[in-house]
Amino acid sequence: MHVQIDGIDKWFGANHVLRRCDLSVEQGELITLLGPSGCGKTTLLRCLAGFELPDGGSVSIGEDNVTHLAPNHRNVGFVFQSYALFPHLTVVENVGYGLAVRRVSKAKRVRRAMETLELVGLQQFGDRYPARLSGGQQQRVALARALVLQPKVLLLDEAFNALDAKLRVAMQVELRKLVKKVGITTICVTHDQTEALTISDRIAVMFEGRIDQMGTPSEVYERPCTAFVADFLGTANLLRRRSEGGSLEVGPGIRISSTFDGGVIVVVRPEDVMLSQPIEGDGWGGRITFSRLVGPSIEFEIDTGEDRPVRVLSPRRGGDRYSVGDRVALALSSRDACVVLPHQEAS
Amino acid sequence: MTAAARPANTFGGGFARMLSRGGLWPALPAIVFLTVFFAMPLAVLFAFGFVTIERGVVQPGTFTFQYFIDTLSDDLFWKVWWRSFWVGTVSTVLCLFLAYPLAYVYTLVGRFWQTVILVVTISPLLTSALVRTYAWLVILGGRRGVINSMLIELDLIERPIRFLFSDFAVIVGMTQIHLPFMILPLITVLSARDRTLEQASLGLGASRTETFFRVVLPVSLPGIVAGFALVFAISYTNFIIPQLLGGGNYTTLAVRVYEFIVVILDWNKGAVLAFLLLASCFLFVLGITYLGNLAMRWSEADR
Ligand SMILES: Nc1ncnc2c1ncn2[C@@H]1O[C@H](COP(=O)(O)OP(=O)(O)O)[C@@H](O)[C@H]1O
Ligand SMILES: [Mg+2]
Repeated sequence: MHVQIDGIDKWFGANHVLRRCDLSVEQGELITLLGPSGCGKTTLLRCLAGFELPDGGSVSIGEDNVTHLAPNHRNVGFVFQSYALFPHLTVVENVGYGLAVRRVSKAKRVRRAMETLELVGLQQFGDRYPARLSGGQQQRVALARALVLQPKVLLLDEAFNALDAKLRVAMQVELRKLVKKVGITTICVTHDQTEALTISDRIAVMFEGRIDQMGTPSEVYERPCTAFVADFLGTANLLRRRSEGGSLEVGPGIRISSTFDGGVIVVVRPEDVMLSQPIEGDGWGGRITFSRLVGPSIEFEIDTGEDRPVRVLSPRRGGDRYSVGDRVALALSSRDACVVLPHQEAS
Repeated sequence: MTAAARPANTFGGGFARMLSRGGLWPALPAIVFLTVFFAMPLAVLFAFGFVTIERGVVQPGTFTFQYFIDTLSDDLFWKVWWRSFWVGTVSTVLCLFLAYPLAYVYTLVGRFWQTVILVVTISPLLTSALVRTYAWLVILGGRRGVINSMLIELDLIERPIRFLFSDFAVIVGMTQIHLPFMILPLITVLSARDRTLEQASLGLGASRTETFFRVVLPVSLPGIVAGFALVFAISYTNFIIPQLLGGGNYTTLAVRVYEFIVVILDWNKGAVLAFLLLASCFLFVLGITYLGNLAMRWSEADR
C-alpha cells in the first residue's frame, strides 16, 4: 500500500531527531532508508509503526491518516533489530500470535503459520523454541510472524545486522525475492550501503533527521545531490571549486557546466578518473603518493597540490604501469562529474 | 570445547568441572563457615531424633526409629502440619497477588517513584520481624487495638471484633512481613525484561491487557517461581508470627519444634519434628521449582 509521510517532527527532550521529514513510497516498492547511526532512521520507522508519536506532521498508509492510531490498530509488520521473538512460544506459536490475537481458530492458525513458515523455508522448525534457533532462522521467523498477517506495509529495522557477512548477503537476496513475490510495500532500515544498493528499488538517504535524496540506487550513486550523499555512498573525491557564469574548472583544461554559482563541491568517483602519462604542459595532474591493491583494481592517491589528494581507481591491467612517485596526468569526462552545494548552504 | 572433550554430565563430572574452572574456590570460606556453624549443628540435631537422651546425656547404642514412627502415626502431627501448610500457602499466594502489581508498576514509573517504591519495600526490613509482629498485635488487638478502637469510635461496631489469635491474624501478619521477599525478585525479573517483546505484541495487534497476559506474565515466570519458593519457605517455617498472633492455643509445626526443644526440653521429639519440618519444606520448594521448570522449558537453550 502507498505510504506517505509529510513533514514529521520528533523531539526527544531538546534533541530534534526528525526535522520536517518527508517520505513517499509506492505500492509494492522496496525502499531502503540509508543513513549513519543516530540520524533518526529507527525513529522514523517507529513513527510509521505507531511506537512513537510524532510531534508534528502526518503519516498516511493507503488512504488512511494513521498519525495518531495506536500500533495495534495499524496492521503494519515490524521486524525488530533484535527480532523480539517471544521466548516462551514455539516457532509456530510465534508466527500464529497475531492470528491468535485476532481469535482465529487454532487449526486455522497452525495451518496459516505453517504456510508462511514454508515461504521462508522453516516448516520443519515449527516446534522449536526461539532459543534453539540460529540468528538467520530467528530472523526468518520474525519475518514470517509479520507476513502471516498480510500487513499493509512491512518495516525492517537493521534486520540483517546480527548475521555474519555471508548469511547476510544470502538473506538480503532472499528478502527481496520474498517481498516481490508477496507484493508488499517494504521499508528497510540500514546503515550498510552495500545492502541498500543490493536490494532496493529506491534508496532514501537520510541525514540529520531528514531525507537528503531519494532515487534508484544508480541515480543516488551517480547523481548525488548533496556532498553528504556522495560521501556516504561509496567513495568520492569532493573537490572545492568556484563556479562562475555557469561553469567551473575542475583542473587546468577541464571545464564542466554548473547550475550553481559561487563556492561548490565537485563530486568525482575514483573509478571515473583516468590516468595517463603526463604530457609536457600544465594539464591536471600530480604525483602518486600511495597505491594499494583493491581486488581487481588498484587505488591511487595523487597529490595535485590541493589539501586532499585525489583518489583514483584503475583497473589492474594498465594501472600497474604506475607506481608511487610517478607523475601522472588526470582526465575526466564531464558526464562523470557532478556539482553540489557545500553542506551548510544545502540546508 | 567440543562435545567429546566435555566430562560426562554426572554429579562427579559436574563437580570436577566446577573445581577445574576455579568456580568453587571463592565460595570456600562460606562453605567452611556453613559446615561448622550450620550443617554440623543441624546434623547433630537430627541425630537426636534417633537416640535416647536421658538428663541431657546421649545413651550409647540406643539407635531407634521409634520417635519417627510415633510422630508420623500421631493425628495431631498431621493436623498441625496441615495448618502450617495451608497458612504458608495462603500467605504466599496473597504476597504474590499484592507484590506483582507493585513490581509491574515499578517498571512503568519514573526514577523518583521507583526510589519511593524501593524505600517503602525495603525499610520494614530494617526493623526486626519480632517488632513488626508486635506492631500487628497492637493493630489487631482487642478493645484497645488500633482497628477496633477506630471502628468503635466511628460507632460502626459496639463490641470489639476478635481479629487476634486466629488464622486470619497469622496470615495477615505473615503476608505483610514477608511481602518484600516477593516484591524484590519480581522487581528484578520485571525490570530486566525485554520491552521490545511488548512492542512486538502491540504491533501484531494485541491490546495492552492482552500483551500483559500473553507476554509479560509468562516471561516473568522465573521471578514468580523464585519469589514463591522463597516466601513459602520462610512462611512455612516461621514460628514467631503464629505464636504471637495465633495465641497460646494456636500451633503450627514450627511452633511445636520451638516448644519441644526450648520449653518442654524433649529433644527427641523436637528433633524429629524439626527434621520433618525442614525435609517437607525442602520437598515443597523442590516441587515448586520443578513445576516452574516444566512451565519454562522454553528457557533452556540448546541441550
Ligand atoms: N527513546 C528515546 N529517547 C531519547 N532519545 C532517543 C530515543 N530514541 C532515539 N533517541 C535519539 O534519537 C536519535 C536518533 O536515534 P535513532 O532513530 O535510533 O537513530 P538510527 O536508528 O538512525 O541510528 C539518537 O540521537 C538517539 O539518541
Ligand atoms: Mg537504529
